[in-house]
Amino acid sequence: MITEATAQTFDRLIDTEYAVVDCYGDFCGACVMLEPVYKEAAADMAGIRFIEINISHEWDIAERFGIDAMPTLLFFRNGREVHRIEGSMDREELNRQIAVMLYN
Amino acid sequence: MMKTKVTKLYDVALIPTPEDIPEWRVDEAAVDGLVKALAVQHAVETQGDAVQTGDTVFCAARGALEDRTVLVYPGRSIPGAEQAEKALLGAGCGDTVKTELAGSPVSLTVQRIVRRTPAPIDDRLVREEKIDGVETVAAYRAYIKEKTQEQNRSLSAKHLSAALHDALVEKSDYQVDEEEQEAWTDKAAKEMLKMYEQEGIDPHIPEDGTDFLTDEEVLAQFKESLRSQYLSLAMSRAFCEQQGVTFGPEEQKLYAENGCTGDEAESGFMESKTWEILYNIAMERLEGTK
Repeated sequence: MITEATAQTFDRLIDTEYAVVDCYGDFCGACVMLEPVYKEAAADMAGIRFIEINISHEWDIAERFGIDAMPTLLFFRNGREVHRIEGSMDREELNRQIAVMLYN
Repeated sequence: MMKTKVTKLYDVALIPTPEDIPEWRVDEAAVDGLVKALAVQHAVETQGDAVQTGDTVFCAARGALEDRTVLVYPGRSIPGAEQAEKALLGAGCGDTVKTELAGSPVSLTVQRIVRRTPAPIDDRLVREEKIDGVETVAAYRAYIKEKTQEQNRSLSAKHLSAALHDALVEKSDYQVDEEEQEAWTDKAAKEMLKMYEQEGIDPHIPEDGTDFLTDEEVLAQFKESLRSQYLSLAMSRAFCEQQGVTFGPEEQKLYAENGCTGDEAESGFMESKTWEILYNIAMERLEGTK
């Protein structure tokens, strides 16, 4: 299950032990490619809150986190950013990035 | 008015569709996969007695990662957790295993085993999606096939229109005004250098790791790479003329309202219309493919 965030709900949603945020945007082909991979991981991996936010509209969040590429995945532990990665990826690569959040 | 002109515009109909344009049509096997994915998204969570492949295992750790709940996903081969995933198989709540995580020895005590079972694929599952007019599995299959194909076709059309655009620029013939080209590429190269500096990227460091580039060498490289963008402006004007598209009073007014006038506005308009027309040509071409 993926939760759609807004600037208003963002801080509340990332305030959990493990959270990943997919920062996507309008007319973004790479974001469309990442979507099914992200959905699959969200369905498969309990214990992590999978979030998405449309930064074409939520500019505050894009500015706050210095996001200038789409998609950008942000990884949080207890509300603090611990890792990020830009671009689309396959499931294997997404697992690799999630591992950084879980085990580093 | 732009001085460089196209003397012969290449015929877009002669440009072949590249072989690497992604297939956009979705077959029934792919639809099966999408329906199964829906069932997985609506999975029911239960507690497991003993760890199995596909579970999520919540653990307390000693020896490493003691500051957090450690999550292990048996069967997924998450990098750094492969040993732990195997070691936990068959363990129950309260059991402790000695293993390795991210290269460090660790003891993991199982706190919780979460098992997700995909929801049954039936009309009730489909209705949970709350899609207007879609209340049965058959209707969902048709809906998801059309939606996915639309998305795929749009993406493929973007790839194809980019290929058509690049080929038109490359294969058309031009009468180039060297002075105009030099002035345009020089200005654009300096703007590009400024952008690199603002982004904190140093273009003086070459990719091949040889001696640093001077400012003049950096600008020369940028100018070379911008030459095709310059020619694209001339190509777009010729293409629009061929297609009967003009930058009329209404369009000029719209651009002026956004602070853009003169040659710059006209070039912007022509480029935008060229991309729009090429995208439509690409969509039609893809529709005709098997």
